[in-house]
Amino acid sequence: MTSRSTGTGAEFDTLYENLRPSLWRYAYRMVGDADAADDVVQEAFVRLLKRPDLTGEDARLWIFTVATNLVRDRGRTAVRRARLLAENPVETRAPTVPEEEYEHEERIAAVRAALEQLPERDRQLLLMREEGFHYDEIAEAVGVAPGSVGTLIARAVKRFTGVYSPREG
Amino acid sequence: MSEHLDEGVLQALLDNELRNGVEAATREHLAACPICRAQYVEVKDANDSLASALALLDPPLPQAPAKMRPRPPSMARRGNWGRFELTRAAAMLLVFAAAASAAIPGSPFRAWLASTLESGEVASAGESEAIVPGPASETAAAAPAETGVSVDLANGSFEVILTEAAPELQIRALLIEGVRGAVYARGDAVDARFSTARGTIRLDGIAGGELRVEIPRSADAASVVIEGRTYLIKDANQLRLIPADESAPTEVRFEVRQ
Repeated sequence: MTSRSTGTGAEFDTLYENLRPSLWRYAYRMVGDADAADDVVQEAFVRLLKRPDLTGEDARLWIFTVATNLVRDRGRTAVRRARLLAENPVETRAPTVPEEEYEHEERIAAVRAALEQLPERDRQLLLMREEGFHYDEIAEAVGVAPGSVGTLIARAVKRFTGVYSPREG
Repeated sequence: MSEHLDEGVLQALLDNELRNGVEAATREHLAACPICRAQYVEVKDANDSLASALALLDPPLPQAPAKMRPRPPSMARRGNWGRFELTRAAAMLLVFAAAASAAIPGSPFRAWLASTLESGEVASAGESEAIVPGPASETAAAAPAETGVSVDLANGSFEVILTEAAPELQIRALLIEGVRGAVYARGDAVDARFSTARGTIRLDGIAGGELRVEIPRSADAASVVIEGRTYLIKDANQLRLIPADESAPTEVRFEVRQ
């Protein structure tokens, strides 16, 4: 395999520009934190740099799979961190916010809570679908038969709407 | 007697994933079976609810500064893999912007937009999905703030939904090359609340100002809907204004470019 540094750089730049917004949104929806999404996306692209053999749709599916694994790893770390925080609680003063802003935050919290109640596979199925992946790609990323993806997504959607309670103002 | 369609088939139909004549056969069955039609509506409603919920979750994504971008080793500056204060600050502002209406005067989000414009970092319109600063005005010294967002099409469709729009709002709609639909706001319109779903951009609370709606030529269908009424559609390779009802209230001003 040969690579030209400028060509590799230009191709990577193109991949970065094309994939970053969608990948960031996927990561943000998975982890619920913008800082964490930044970290996941940055690390995923650093790893993609080491795979100049991947281009186009292969690269897209690969990097989303990597991002999913990174999110999973962060989840394990977050559980440990949450345990530490519970043992050493930090007192915070609740900020005063306008009512409209508060209601918007409540709605966001309801969505976040519903997503977190789903099994990780359901989140991955739904969020990859939202990013425009086809069933065969989702099947490969999740590790299921392509013919089962429709049923799995339908059930995941049902589970989400079953636990999602939008908070009305 | 025909069997009823299972949820996986209905979901796949909704997601445009049925192939090889299966879609046609499924639609034929739906036309003849009220039970499956009712179930399909349930599946669609649940998916719409999910899409709306996820759209609530999305804060605006700032344009990544070029220096943040990972570089191949031959192009990397030494030790330059870490995050920069601007990006961390921008990430914090993302959370703030998600929680707060951008209508708050002097909000850090608007200040960030202004400073980003001043620094000359602009997005390539239609290339990134984000709330991004739009192209700077040619009278750069007093360039008004501009913000916008672009989305992928949903099965070839693009829809812009506007609510709580002031009558003095001006809208420019134009056909563009590329594959993403976009809306950019200037003036008072930058204070509107943006939300997105696949193929849809929604703005609420538009106090005035100007919107630029960019509709890809590649879209099979596109529309601009204001307060529940369709004002503009894409008709083949043209944009067409829908004639106003004589009883309608003050008309929003449109400028259309083909």
